[in-house]
Amino acid sequence: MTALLRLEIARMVRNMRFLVFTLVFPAGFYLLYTEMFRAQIRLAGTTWAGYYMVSMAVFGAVGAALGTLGTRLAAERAGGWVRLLRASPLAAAHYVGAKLAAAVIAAVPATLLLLLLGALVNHVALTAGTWLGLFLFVIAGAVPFAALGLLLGYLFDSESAQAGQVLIWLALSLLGGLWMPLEAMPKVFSEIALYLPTFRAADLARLALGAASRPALQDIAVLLAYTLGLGALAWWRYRSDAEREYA
Amino acid sequence: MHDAALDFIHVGRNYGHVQALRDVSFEARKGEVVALLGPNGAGKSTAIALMLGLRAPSFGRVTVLGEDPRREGTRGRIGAMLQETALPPGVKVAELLAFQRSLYPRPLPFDAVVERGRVGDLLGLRVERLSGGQRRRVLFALAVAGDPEVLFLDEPTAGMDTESRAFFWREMDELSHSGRTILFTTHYLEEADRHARRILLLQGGRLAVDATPEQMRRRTGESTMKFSISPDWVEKVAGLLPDCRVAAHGPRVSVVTADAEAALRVLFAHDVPLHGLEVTAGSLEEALLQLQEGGDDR
Repeated sequence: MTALLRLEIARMVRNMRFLVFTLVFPAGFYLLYTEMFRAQIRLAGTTWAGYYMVSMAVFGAVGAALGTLGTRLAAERAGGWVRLLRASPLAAAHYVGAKLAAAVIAAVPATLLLLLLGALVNHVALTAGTWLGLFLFVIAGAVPFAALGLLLGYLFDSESAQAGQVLIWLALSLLGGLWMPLEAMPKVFSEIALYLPTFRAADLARLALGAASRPALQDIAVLLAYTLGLGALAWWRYRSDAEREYA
Repeated sequence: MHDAALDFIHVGRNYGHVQALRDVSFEARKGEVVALLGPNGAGKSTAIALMLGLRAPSFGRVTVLGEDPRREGTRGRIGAMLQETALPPGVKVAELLAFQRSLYPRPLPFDAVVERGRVGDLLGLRVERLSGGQRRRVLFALAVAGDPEVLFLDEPTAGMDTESRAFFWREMDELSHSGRTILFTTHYLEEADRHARRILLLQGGRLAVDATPEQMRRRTGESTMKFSISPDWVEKVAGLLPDCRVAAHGPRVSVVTADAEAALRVLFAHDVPLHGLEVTAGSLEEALLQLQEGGDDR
């Protein structure tokens, strides 16, 4: 499993094209919107600069976790690489485990970049422990999206995977209140957002800032439910895919 | 001690209403080299998928080295080279080989893998930069990296140039001498003729023939003569032998005939300047064509 993970990370480092999107968009939005609105405005018990730093870190982390798996997996299925691995002694659970781990690791650069921008450009001041907690919460929030990416890799073919995954990334981010605070959107969106993993991931991360709007256990329960549910769906698709692909 | 490397016992495999394999039984001993032949859609890929543990049979039982190939332990003793495998982009050849070795309990030493696959000049390249022929070499190196006891090769030489094919078959012959069991499919019948000790012909999902290449050739009752001759003589030879099928492959001419002795008497009587004469009983190609035509009549 570690051998496959190492292979996946080497590939990630060499093919940064998609990862760059997950860096440029969140960083760009963050700098733009904290420039447009006063960064030191108070919001939900913290500053706009801190609040939006978390939103955009989650936005980037979600995109990276989703994007690493979806497109690539669809292409590997179409190209026969998955078939060759299945004929090898590599256990299916190790294969899936390494893929998920790689997707979560892909969320690290965007998260780090946004936290750095918050600290260095907008002077968000937190203790070292809080920074670390924030980082870990954002990464943990990326886990259900790795599972979602896995599922997309099995639902889409290699041509539609890229578009599908970008669309889902943007839609979940908008509806989950990552682009603009839910308070600034019509009320119905706040109600939808409660059920979305994007909102829950950001809310959980804001716990580190003391700015969470929901109980942490509730956030964790929703994220866990998504991880398990999506993971089970992906597993089921993986099994039925095995039956179809070598006709 | 059970010494069958491959064993099919009344194996059937359905896809919905399609019967891809029907009641196929055969056994291959350890160290045997088996060619699996048949037209497209005859069930070759399905048979290989069953032996690799990618699928389960709908009926009957498939064992490889006496065990169920769907077990991971069994797959650790098997190597495979499948058709048209796109390698994962972004990975260097050396990394891919190291990864593949790490999957197997008793892999070949890294240098031996490189030598077997002749990939020494490719190690630093990323897989997406490989040409078709280079990719085949890497796929072959991946197949042998785990030092497998049984090798499955689905059209291994498709797209290889002559030199690569010759090298490839030298490697295969060496592997078979060291006791490895090899099962391959091919569209080049002379490869089956020359390198397989056993030919399995699938037709419409059934095993139509299980025979040695020699037995196959004899089924037609015809002989094939091959000789070299200057190109301007080819047409004249065809004119002299109206009852035979004459074909030229570069400088070599092949003549398929029911009576090789009579044909030779005609050629010598006309002082045809041929050299390098070979006569073999039957032709694999003819035998296969006749069988396939017979199969279509049903």
